[in-house]
Amino acid sequence: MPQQKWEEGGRQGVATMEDDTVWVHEGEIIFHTTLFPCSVFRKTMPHRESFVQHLSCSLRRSLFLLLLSTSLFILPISAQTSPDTTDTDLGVEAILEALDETLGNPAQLAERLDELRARPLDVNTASAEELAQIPAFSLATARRIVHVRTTSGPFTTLNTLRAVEGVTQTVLRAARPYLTVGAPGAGRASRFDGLFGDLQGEWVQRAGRRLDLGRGYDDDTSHTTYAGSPTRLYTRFRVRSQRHLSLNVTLEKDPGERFAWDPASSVYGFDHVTGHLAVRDLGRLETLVVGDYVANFGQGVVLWRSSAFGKGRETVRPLARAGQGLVPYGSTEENSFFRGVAVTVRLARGLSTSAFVSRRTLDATLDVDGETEDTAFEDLSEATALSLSGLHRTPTELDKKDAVREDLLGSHLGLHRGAVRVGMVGYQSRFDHPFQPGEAPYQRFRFQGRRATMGGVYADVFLGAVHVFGEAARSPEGGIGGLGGVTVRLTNGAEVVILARHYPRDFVSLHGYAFGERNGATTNETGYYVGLTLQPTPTWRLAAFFDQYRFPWVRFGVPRPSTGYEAFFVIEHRPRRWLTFYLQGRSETKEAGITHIDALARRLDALRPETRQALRLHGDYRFSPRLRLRARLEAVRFAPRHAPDAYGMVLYQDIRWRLVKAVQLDVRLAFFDTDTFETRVFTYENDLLYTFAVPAFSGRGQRAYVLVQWTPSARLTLQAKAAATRFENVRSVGSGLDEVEGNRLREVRAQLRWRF
Amino acid sequence: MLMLLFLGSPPWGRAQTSMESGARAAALGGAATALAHHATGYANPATWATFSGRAVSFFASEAFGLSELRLGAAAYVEPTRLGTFAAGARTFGFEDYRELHFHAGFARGFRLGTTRRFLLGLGLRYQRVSIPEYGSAGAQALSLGGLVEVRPWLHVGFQAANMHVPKLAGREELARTLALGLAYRSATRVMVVLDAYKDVRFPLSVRAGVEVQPVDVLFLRAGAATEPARFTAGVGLRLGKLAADLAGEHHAALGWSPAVSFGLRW
Repeated sequence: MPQQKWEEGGRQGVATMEDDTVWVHEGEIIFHTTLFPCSVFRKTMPHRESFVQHLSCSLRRSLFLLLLSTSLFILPISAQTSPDTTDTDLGVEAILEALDETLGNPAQLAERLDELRARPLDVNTASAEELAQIPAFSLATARRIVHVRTTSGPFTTLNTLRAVEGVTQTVLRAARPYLTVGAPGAGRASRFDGLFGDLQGEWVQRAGRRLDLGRGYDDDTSHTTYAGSPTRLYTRFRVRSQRHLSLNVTLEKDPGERFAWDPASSVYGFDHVTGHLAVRDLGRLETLVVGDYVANFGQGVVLWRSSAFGKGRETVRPLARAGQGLVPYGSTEENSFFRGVAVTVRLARGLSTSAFVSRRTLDATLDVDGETEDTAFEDLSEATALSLSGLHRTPTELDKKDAVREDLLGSHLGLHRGAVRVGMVGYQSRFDHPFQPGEAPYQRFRFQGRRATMGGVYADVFLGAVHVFGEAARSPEGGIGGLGGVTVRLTNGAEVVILARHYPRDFVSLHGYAFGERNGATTNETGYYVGLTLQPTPTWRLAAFFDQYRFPWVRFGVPRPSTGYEAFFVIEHRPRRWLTFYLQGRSETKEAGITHIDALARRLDALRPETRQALRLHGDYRFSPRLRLRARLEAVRFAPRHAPDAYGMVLYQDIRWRLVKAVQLDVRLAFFDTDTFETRVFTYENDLLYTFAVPAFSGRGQRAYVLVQWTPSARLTLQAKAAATRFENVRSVGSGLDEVEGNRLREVRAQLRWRF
Repeated sequence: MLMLLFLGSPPWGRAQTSMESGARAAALGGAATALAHHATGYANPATWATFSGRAVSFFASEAFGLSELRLGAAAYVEPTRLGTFAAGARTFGFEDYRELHFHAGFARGFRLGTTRRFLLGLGLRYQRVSIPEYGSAGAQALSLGGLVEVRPWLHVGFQAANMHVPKLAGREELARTLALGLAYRSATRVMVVLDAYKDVRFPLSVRAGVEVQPVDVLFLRAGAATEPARFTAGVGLRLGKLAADLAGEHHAALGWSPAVSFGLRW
């Protein structure tokens, strides 16, 4: 391989050539440049922070001449091809793609990642907890970044992060879209005059609807119909300063919901209204939120109102969480937030405390004891179950709206000293209607009553390459539960995590969202998880996990305590920055409830092991910054014991084409073919910014979409998406009020984002 | 049995076999989506853009040795400065059932800021079916394909056909298909091809083939495919501008299907 030494401004390294690409090495840091001479080079260099930007044109010319001269003699074949000058933004879609389909609210997570990408974290001011929100960073890595920054001074470029232990080339590449480098020495401002500095506003307007409508939209009022139009409307207005101030209003109307002004039923045009005013990092005041917020502490056993990564392609890093504390809220999910005032104050170095109060209403089914018209008896009505859909379209759904009020008071005390991070968190909730969940066995240990008090402690201990973490809590019903684990970084790129969780049957966490088989359902589960990530070479990555779990009490549809296990692997090969293949396999066996007829013709509730396996082959190729191709073949097998196997598959081709600088086109054509609902296939789709789409398909048919993005200026982005699914051999699609006559489902959506 | 073949498999549903794209593709199990220099363009119209000169190709096959299932086709490729144009015709069947296809197409490469090319092709096909007792009907088929050299040893391609849901006589839908393929050249004289082919109404068909070139003029080929399961084999000769290919496909129940192609490139 041809090589040439270089020296520039005190830096030095080696430039090598592979095929038609020049790879410039500075120590362990490697960049690739292009064939193009200086003038073209400026336009095509994707690494803004790269030191290559600082190279003189003469050096670039010399590299170019080196390449030209050697390629004439050595590489006549490859000289016919040009290098791929792709951007470094390879991570975000892979992360979103890796979101597990069982995740409770992936849209919220996707929105958070989009926002993080739109406003990257400053590595010179972000806290370890903030940096740990970047999927590529574990909490331990984030802490080391902060430690290096504190002891050695601010980072001058993102590439200097490589000096931090654990930040490999692969990790940095994945984290790069979420990071920026602020002015050295800027640090955390603490003066009020910085409050309004660098204010930026954003307005997002989104509208969309299905073109093929179910009978819920009929004009015939002799049966139940939806109260509103099929249009989904979304408006968000937000003003933020770089670090200190955030003002947000989000308004949303779901399809079928009415668009009306009716304060009596908390409908102000849009059905869902959320917003906040938040101030951060002002002296001892770490966070002050007035309005809507979420609280994420520890490992999520007591309090975690956002979504979080669970089991997925990242098998190690997301397992040890880093609770961000109080976070202003402005998402479309209608249940997972608090409404009131929340504050975090730094008492001393490494010691902070939070207090938060919330009063909000929740959707619930009320069991009114007969005398429904008599308001004197209203207080006797009991809530049997919360309704979490957030949909208010039919009279039944509207009856559930805001049926229960919850008043919550909570606090947190956190200490972070050296290698130890500990905290206490607790809350007390009062409901204006008592919960009485019913008599069915699976409901026996659900929360009952009017008052819930929960508290817990968590800790993280960092011992070199070892991170020990855990959280234990006492639930309102008196059950003690929690999780604990340890991650070990063996070498760069090799990590292991072992995690155990124990949530007894009487352990009910009303506002928790801890790790588990049913991510977010922090109750009635005991399990052990071991995950492994290996990177034997820079181009190969292997990850795997094994998770074994047991549900000690019956669940809905599962009449006895049950068990299960899941195994997963992914082998990823990235021979070039612009070419990625991976093979992914997943197998889960768990017991499901069935009705068994015995020899005496008696109906018996029984368990049956069921295995679901999926194998995926995926390729991602970036021809150039203007064209990306992506293809996938995935096969699914569902094998219930003593019953026939069922199969499913999906095959798709994606094209992303930047037609001109301001216009980008995303097109997909997918064919799916599944025998049953259990073999349904999930596919991540490119969608409008701040939205998330992983539709599931069952049956036989095709799916196609076109997403157009026009960015006439840096401030304005317009997007439109049209999608259609066509099923074979069916006369109708969907069920209930959403059942559509025919075999097509078509949808259009558009969005405008204006920054000011 | 003939009726079963026709009724059980709608027009173009016979693409589930390997005998539609020429004898070279047939010998490779029908895995032709990522094949370059493939004059019929049936498996991927983008392949027309790989021709640097004119080409003409003739193809004949007889499914399962039945004269009623004979197929004959001719294709012509004309590269120009704008791109590559292609045209052709095909006939299939016998006096009581006759399919006639006429196709025209265009393919070209896009460099997109590089010195390489991303090839895109579009094929338009008019298909007419005649059954003397019932009359005749026609439909327009449309296929779009892409082909790219990822590395010198790896080509990948895709093709989507009839996404506009054309129907014969307003009733009989032409096959809507999506095919993804790759061609891996492990050495200069060995090539492996692999296709995943899905007709929306039929199970996924996986097709694979290998081509070995022991001497400059000779190619030995073998392949296999699923849905239906079949085995294929063939030989090819290259003598200057002339090419001749011979292929056979074996179905466990229906037997052998021979195919032969002749081509000229100049």
